Amino acid sequence: MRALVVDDSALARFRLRAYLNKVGFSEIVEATEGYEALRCLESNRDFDLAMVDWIMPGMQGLELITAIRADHSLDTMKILLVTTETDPVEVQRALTQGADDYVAKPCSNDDLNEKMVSLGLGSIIEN
Amino acid sequence: MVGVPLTRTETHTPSDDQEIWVSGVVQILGEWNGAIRLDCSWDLAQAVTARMYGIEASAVTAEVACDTVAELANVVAGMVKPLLGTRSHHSLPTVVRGRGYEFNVPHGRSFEQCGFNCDANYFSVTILQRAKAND
Repeated sequence: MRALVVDDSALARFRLRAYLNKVGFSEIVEATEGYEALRCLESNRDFDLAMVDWIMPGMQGLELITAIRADHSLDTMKILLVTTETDPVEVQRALTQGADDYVAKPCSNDDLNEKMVSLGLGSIIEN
Repeated sequence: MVGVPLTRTETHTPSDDQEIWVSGVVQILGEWNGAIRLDCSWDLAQAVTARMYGIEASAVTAEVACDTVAELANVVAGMVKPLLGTRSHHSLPTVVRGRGYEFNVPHGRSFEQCGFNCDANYFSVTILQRAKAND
C-alpha cells in the first residue's frame, strides 16, 4: 500500500512516516504543502491514503482536499486530515469538502490504528 | 507526544541573558485575538527533538529543533484555542531563537502563563491577548 504525507512540519512527517512504516505501507511519499502534493499526484496516482495537515504555507489542506476530490481518478484514495484544528464547524467543512476522516494532533499510534479501520484500511494493521 | 513527565512550577523569566532560548508562537485570529507562546531553553529544545527523532542531542541542528518547537507550539495552540470559547483561526507557527530577547504581539498582554519542569529543564506556555482598539 502507498501513502502520501502532506505536512510542513518535518517532525510531523517523521512521526507519520514512522507509523506508516510500522504498519506496513510499502511506499511513503512526503510533501510539505498542497502544490507539492499535487505535483506528486500528477506523476503517480496510485496512492491508497493521503494524510493531510490543514494549516500549511502555499496551498493549505482544505484547498488540497478540494483539488483532489475534483479529480475523479483519485476517488479511491482515502484522505485523513491530521490537524490541530478541532473546531467542529471547521472539521465538518473539511469532511464536506471530501476528507474521509480527521484526527487531532497530537495523535498516538492507537488513534491512527482506529482511523485506519474507519477508513477501510484496517487489513494493514491486522497483518 | 513527547513522552516525558511534566510538573507544574512557578513561572519565571530567564535570568541568564547568555543562555539561548527558543520561542514558538502561533497567533490566534478571529473573535479572540492574541497568541500562544511556548518558551524553552535551547538545551530542552535539543533534548526533546533528539528524543522524538531517536537521535543524539549533539546531532540536532538548529533548523530541526526550531521545526520541533514550531510543531509543539502548533499542537499547544490547537489544544488551548477551544478553551478560549470562541471561533478563531490560528496562524502558521513562528520561531525565535536567541539570547535576551522579548517577544510580544502588538498590544498584547499576558492573559495566562504556566510554567513546567520537563526533564530538569524549565519551559512555559503563555497566552497573550491582543487588546481591542479602544482598550
